[in-house]
This record gives sequence, structure tokens and C-alpha cells, in this order.
Amino acid sequence: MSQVIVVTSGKGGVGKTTTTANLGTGLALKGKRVVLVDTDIGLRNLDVVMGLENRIVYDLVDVVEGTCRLKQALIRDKRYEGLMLLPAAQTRNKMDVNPEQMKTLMQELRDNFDYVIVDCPAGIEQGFVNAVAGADDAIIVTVPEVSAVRDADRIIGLLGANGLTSARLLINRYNQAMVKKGDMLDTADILDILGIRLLGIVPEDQAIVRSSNLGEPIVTTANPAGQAYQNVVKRMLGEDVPLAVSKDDTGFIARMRRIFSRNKGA
Amino acid sequence: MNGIVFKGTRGGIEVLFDALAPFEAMKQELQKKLTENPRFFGKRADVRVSAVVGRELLDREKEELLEIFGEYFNANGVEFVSAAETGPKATAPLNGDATDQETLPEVEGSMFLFSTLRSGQKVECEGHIVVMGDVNPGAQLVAAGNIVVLGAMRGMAHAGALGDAGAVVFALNLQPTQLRIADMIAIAPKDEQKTGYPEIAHAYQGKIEIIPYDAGSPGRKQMRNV
Repeated sequence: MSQVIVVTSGKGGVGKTTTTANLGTGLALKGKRVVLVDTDIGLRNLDVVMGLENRIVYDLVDVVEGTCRLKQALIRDKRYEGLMLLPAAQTRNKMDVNPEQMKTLMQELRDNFDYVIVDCPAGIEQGFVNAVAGADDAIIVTVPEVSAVRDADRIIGLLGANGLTSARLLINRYNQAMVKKGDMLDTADILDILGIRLLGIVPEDQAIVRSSNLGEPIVTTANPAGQAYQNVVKRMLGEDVPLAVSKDDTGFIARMRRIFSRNKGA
Repeated sequence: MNGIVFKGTRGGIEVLFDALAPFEAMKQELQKKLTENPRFFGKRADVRVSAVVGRELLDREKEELLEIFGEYFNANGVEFVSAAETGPKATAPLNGDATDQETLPEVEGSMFLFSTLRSGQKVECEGHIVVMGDVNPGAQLVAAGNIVVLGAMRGMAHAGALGDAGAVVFALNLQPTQLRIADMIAIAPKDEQKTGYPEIAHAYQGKIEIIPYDAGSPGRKQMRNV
């Protein structure tokens, strides 16, 4: 059964587009038919992060307005079997599309793919409303900063008001060293406030900057962030991959917990 | 889209319409709000509804609105009030998304909420407010009476908003961004630690004081005698 999943955050710059690109690529590598939809009309980025910018002919607004057929606007990613991109328009703005049109578009995509991953723009205005229309699940991306968590909370509330209550959380740019020093919110703090299921934690990794600039998703590599995204993909597919939530995995309690869980597994 | 705010009052539900909205938009918004929240309105057939509109409505317009109200409420319980009669507060805010307003209706004046309030959500009430859930930073509770949060209170709470300095704010975990009781305002000290036990905020000698909650304390009775 196909799923339409919106990747959203409220705050900008927390890694929505990177997450969309990597989860989509990861799912395609697992043999799924995936389409990435960039709804950030006027400020499109997903095509750049995917390295597909130069192949854009038609875009989402063209499809919605009937200038072209859906198939003409979809860009096949030749590197990964089953992965396609529907780019946003760069010369238009978010008011050129309405939620009803988005619902229709999502329905059409749903018929042709296993996963429709929607990259949502920052903010809570028309772009957000468009992106969440027609979605049946959401991934909230946040970083361990108070302001980002505050915005994520707002977004969860707005999604809930739209009947989307199954949202899961992805904590991006997590820095274990800073958390240990007490300089960064830890996972437990964030989950305490947001109170939604955790889908994964992606560590801060300088290799991400390079991979985004090159247009090659990091999920294909063995970097820590790449590994983390692979784990998230597995969880999306229903595999049981343990989350490392413990505050300090070298501490006494964590060690005890490990010993006990090992016994339980045996 | 702005337009309509639902408010719980002692007498029933007050529906505030944006005075500047065109009638068609008004109608659509009302229909939308009622369909979106059938849970809130579904079983309230006996509730009195005052529709407060910023201008005089034509009879034809009233009939059309009544038709919509009638699907959810007893149409005989609906009365139209012009905003001029109830003062300036009775017009819907002109800014903000409709979903911004989480002002929920309430029948008896007090409210019982079974959910966590998140950033941007605001609840106003002429009675007391009880929340079974957390109140997150950025959320606001405003009550003429007391506020009880059976969870973490991390947002803004204003008890005794109409001037009752005897009102209190109680929470299992009281870590508010800001507390207000009547016309007093308090913020937490910067180095405040999580206490791990329930606390209650009340007015004491003209200031807001937070003390551990002790059901047997003799101070409890004095709390009302500020």
C-alpha cells in the first residue's frame, strides 16, 4: 500500500530537504518505487541536493496547471532504480497552487509509487498547508535547539488539527559530545516536550555538507549520518532497529542496561 | 483564513465572526469549523449559541447561518447579537490562521481538556481550566478561575484573569514560561531546577508565590483569603 509522507519542521535549515533526499534514496535502494516531491515553490532545493537540477524541464506547477502531463515532469534518477523527482517551480510562488490541487496530485502519484515523500517548505503558511494536504503521515525534523523544538511543537499541533496524528520525529545534527557537556538538549528532553514517537537520530556529520553540494545523498555511504539514515529507512519499512536514546552510553546505568538487555536477548 | 472564534461562556457558546469578512466567506468558515471539529460540537444540541457579528445581518443571511448551525445545535437556542451590544471585545481577531485559535467551547463555564496543548494553542475560559496533558512552551491558558494541569505546565498560565487574586495555578510539574494571577506577573528564576513534585502558585502579599502542594496543609484554606 502506498504512503504519502510529508517531511516538515516549521523552522528552516534543520535538514528537511537533506532528510527527504536521503530517505527517498534509501527507500529506492531497498527496491521501493519512490517519488520525491519538492513543494518549496520559489525556493526549490531538493533538485540541487539530488544533483538533478540540470534535468528539469517541467515542474509541479506545470503539472497542476495542466501545462504538461505528470510523466513529463517526473525526473528519473538514473543512479537509483525506482527513484523519481517532481521538482518545484522556481519562478512562481506558493499561492499558485492550492490544497485541493495538491490532493489530486498526491492521489495520482500514490497510484504509481510505493512512497511519495513530500519536502515541505519552512513556515506555517500556504506552502505548509499545500504540502500537508493529501499526506497520510508526517516526519517532523528538528535539531537539538530550543527554537527548533518549539517550532516542531507548533507543527505537531497544526498537523493534529488537520487530523494527522501519527507524526514521527527525526532529530538531526545531534552532537553527542555537546550533549555530554550539557551544552545541547538531549533526546530525552526533546521527547519529553514533543511527546511523539522517535523515528531516528542523525548525528552531526561534516560529510553531509559535502554530499549535499555534490548532489550525492549520504545514505549511500558508510559515514555516521549515512548509517543513521539507513537505520531510519529500515524503521520506515518496519524493521526493528534499536534506537540509542540513552543519555550517556558509557555510564554505569547504561552499562547495566546493556548487560540486562543482552541477557534478555539470549 | 481568519474569521471565526468559538468561546465558551457561562451561558453556552459564543461564536465571534470577523466583522470585515464577506458573508460567503463567513458561511464557508463556519461550515468548515463545525465539520472539522464534530467532536467538540457533536453532542451539544442543547447548548445556547450566541452568534456575535460585527454588523447587522439581513434576514436572509440569518436564515442561511441558522441552517448551518441547525445541523449541530438546536436552532431555537441560537441568537444573533450585534457586536456593538457586547462591546469591542466581541469581534474576532483580524490576523492569524484559523487553526491558530484553539479556543474551545464549553458548556458550564469550566473546561476539561484531554490533550496536550502545544505551542501556538490558546485556551480561554470564564471558569476553571483542567488539562489532562502537558502545556508546552508557547501555549497559553487564560481562566477567570483556577488552572489545574495534570502534567507539565511549561507555557503561560493566567489564573483569575478577570481580577480574582485568590485564583491558583496547580501543576504536577510546574515550570511555566510565565505565570499570571489577576494583575500580577511572575517569571521563573533563571536557575530554576525541576522539582519532581506537584506545586501550586498563589498570590501572597501582592506577589506570586510557588509552594509545594500539600493537600493537608493549613495554608490551603488561607489561600482564598488574599
